[in-house]
Amino acid sequence: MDTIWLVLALPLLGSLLCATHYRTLGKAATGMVASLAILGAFVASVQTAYQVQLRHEFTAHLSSWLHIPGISGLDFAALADPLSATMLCTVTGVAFLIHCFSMGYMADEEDYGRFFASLNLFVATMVLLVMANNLALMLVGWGGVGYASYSLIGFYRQKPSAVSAARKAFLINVVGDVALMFAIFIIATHCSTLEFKAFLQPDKLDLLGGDLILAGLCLMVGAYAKSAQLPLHTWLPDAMEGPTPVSALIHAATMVTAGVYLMVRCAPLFRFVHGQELLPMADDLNVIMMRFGAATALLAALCAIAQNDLKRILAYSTMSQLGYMFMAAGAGAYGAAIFHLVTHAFFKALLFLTAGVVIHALHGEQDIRKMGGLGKKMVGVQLAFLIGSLALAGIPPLAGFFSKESILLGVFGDGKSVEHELLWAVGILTALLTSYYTGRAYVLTFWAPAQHEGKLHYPSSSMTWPLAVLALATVAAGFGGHDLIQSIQGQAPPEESFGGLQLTALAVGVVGLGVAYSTHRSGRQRLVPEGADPYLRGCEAIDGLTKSLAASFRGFADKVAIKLDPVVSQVCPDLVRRSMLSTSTLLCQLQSGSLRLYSFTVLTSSTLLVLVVYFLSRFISGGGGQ
Amino acid sequence: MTEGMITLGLSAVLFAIGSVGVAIRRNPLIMFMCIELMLNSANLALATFSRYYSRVPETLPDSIELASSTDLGSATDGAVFVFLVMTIAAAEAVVGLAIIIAIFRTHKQVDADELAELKG
Amino acid sequence: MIFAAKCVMALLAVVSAFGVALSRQAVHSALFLTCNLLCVAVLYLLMSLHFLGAAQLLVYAGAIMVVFLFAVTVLAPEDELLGKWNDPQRLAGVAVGAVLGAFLLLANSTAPLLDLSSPDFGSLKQFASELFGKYVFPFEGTAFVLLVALVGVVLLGHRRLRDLDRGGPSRD
Repeated sequence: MDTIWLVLALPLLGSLLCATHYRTLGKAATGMVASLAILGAFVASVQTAYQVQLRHEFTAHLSSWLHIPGISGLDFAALADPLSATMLCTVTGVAFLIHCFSMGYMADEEDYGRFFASLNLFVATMVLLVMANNLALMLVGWGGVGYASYSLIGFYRQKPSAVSAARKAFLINVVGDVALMFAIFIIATHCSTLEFKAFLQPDKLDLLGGDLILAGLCLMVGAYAKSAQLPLHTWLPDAMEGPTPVSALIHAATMVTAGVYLMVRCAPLFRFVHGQELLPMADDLNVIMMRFGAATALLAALCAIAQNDLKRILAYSTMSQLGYMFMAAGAGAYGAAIFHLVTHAFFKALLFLTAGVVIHALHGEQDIRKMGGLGKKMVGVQLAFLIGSLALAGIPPLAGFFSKESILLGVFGDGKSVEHELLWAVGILTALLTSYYTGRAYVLTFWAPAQHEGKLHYPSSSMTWPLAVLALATVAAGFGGHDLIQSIQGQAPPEESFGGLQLTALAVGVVGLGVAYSTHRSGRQRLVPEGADPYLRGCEAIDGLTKSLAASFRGFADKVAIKLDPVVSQVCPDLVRRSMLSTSTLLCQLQSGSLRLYSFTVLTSSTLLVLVVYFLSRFISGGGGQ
Repeated sequence: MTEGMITLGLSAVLFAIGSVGVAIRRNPLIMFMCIELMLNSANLALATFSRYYSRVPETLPDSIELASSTDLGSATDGAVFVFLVMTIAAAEAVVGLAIIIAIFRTHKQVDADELAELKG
Repeated sequence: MIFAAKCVMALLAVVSAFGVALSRQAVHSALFLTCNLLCVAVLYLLMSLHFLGAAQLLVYAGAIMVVFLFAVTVLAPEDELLGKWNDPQRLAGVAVGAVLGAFLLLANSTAPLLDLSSPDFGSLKQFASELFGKYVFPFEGTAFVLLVALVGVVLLGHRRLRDLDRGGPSRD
């Protein structure tokens, strides 16, 4: 058995242990078990990545799982290639740090066991999603992360807002699950296999014919719901109701990137080259993906400017960065997309965890207008947040700069198409907004005059060392980009000299930060006037639209229900009762106990039977031509 | 009116008489005898078919050359069934009479119209 | 000759059957039933089903009738008054029975009956080879049914056991 299965088995085992033996283990041991399970999974992932280095790629079969005649590739098997190895290492690595962080962060919680059981379950399902070698098995992980996310968003189950946020996230995720299922149906009927390596071959994709665009769209809808892209993004900001480590792990570093992973995994479908030309249909899909990605990136960044809740700012920023990744995927820069995914996992997890420390320190205060003045009191935390912010804003030599740069270059392409130039411009604009809102959050939190009183709740050491590791990773990850892109894409990224494009991006980042510093240093809370808010919050408008639609539907349903309810709840049961009563009274009379009546009944019914058989046989033989 | 028709018609008439007897009599013993009559008439029909109907599939071609295929059944099939029915009838008669006697012991009388304890 | 004999036997069987159904005394019914069974046995013999004829005589006319007569003497039922003929239930029974008989006759009259039997039809050898060859399992089944009936009758007739079930001493 390959070590790759340990990556799946250990978190699953940890989850079971935490769920069942929390009482006997106690708090410290539960957290230890959960973290160690993830550490083991991380080691196994690294070992898998090493094997991939040696053997390039391999498939590990565990057992056959589903048997559907006519459809192959439904085994319980793992695919290990550079893409899945990268994802596995990122997921388990970040997850391990966040588990360690959670041991300190959740120390005061009552439901410690439930939290770690869910968190481990999430890692197991995410790993299953990543390592599945066919779409059907991936769907299992896909649904599983949806469930784990649901249970973790709604972790504070006594809070109505958390519960409704969990429900919302689950519902929208199910939209994506259903879309992915439809894609599976389409691909299974046409290609008669669901294994990635099999159905992504040109001769199989040819079988899809005109349904290629349908399959691609279904895959994209599935990815959009999971990755909070327009117009299925509304669940992500609300998901911040969950504990902060959950936001860091699930809603920043790993689960939301599953959509990007799916796009990259199915890249041949979107890059289907027919003869020499890119198939027009596939090209349409790419254009849609790029435009939606750009729109998401820009609108989410605008929305982030208007937010005051620290976690919601980061949530919108996550959406925006995911938009970048989809833009890159649409432009065919898959390596850049995965590179950004990895670096984003590091620096966004770092930012979230730091935010968690800050919120912890201020006893649950999340509004950045009520923070300030923490820079001198928590120097290390402030430094960690700064590193994360600089990476997010795209300042060299931090990881974010390189990955964002490779995406922008990928989108710009050879620069011959107006469309690509426009999209690049949107990307640059988004980068400007990104550096501004990041800077605003940083400055208002740490350098503006303090807006709070009382004692600070300083973090324990188990909470700070993961920050240090993540900060280190954020600094270092940028330099591995070239190799990563090469192993994912199969070819080296184009060698670009440090030219105008990069300089623009860098300048934009610096300008954004500068504006933020100069505006908010004094404690001023807004740059844009309040009147502009409705325009900035375009993203949230969709939420309102959904709500009003639902409200109007519910109003209609209410009216119908008020009319129908008396009928259904009173008349119908009464009718049932009466009919039962009358029927039983009637049938009781048959049970007379009189032997002669019984024998007479037998005689009559057998006579009728003879009559029926006689005439039936006459009728049948008459029809037979006698 | 062939020879077989006589016994076949007789079986129909006996069956009808037996059923009427079961329907109109009050004495369970006589009802029971009528049931025996019906069983016997069914036996008679089986025996008749065994004698006159065996090996005739549906319609018969002019040159009668019947295969000895076992699928069609053999001539003695019906007779064997008559024998089996007889055996079962014997068992049934013994049990039935024992029940009637048991009822008589508890009720001191045997009248079908008086036995209505199973009224629902 | 055989035809005539069959006709006479059939007539006798019908008359005795009416006797079974309409006799006021149970003993008369039993005797009429014996007569009827004997007629049918003769009919079996006339159809050259010799074994069945013999079995009919032994099992029905012999064994079963003895049991019946025994029951009649044990119970000694009073003469049953047939009552008024316009009793609606009785009339309905007769009417339905008549309809049943008529339709059975009608249905039977369409049966394509042909005498195609082989020379050794009705021979004991053929019958036995069928019974113990093809039908050996049903045959064994009837043996089992007879055994069960035996046990059942013993239980029914066991007075003390019945008293135990009723939870008290016998009342008779």
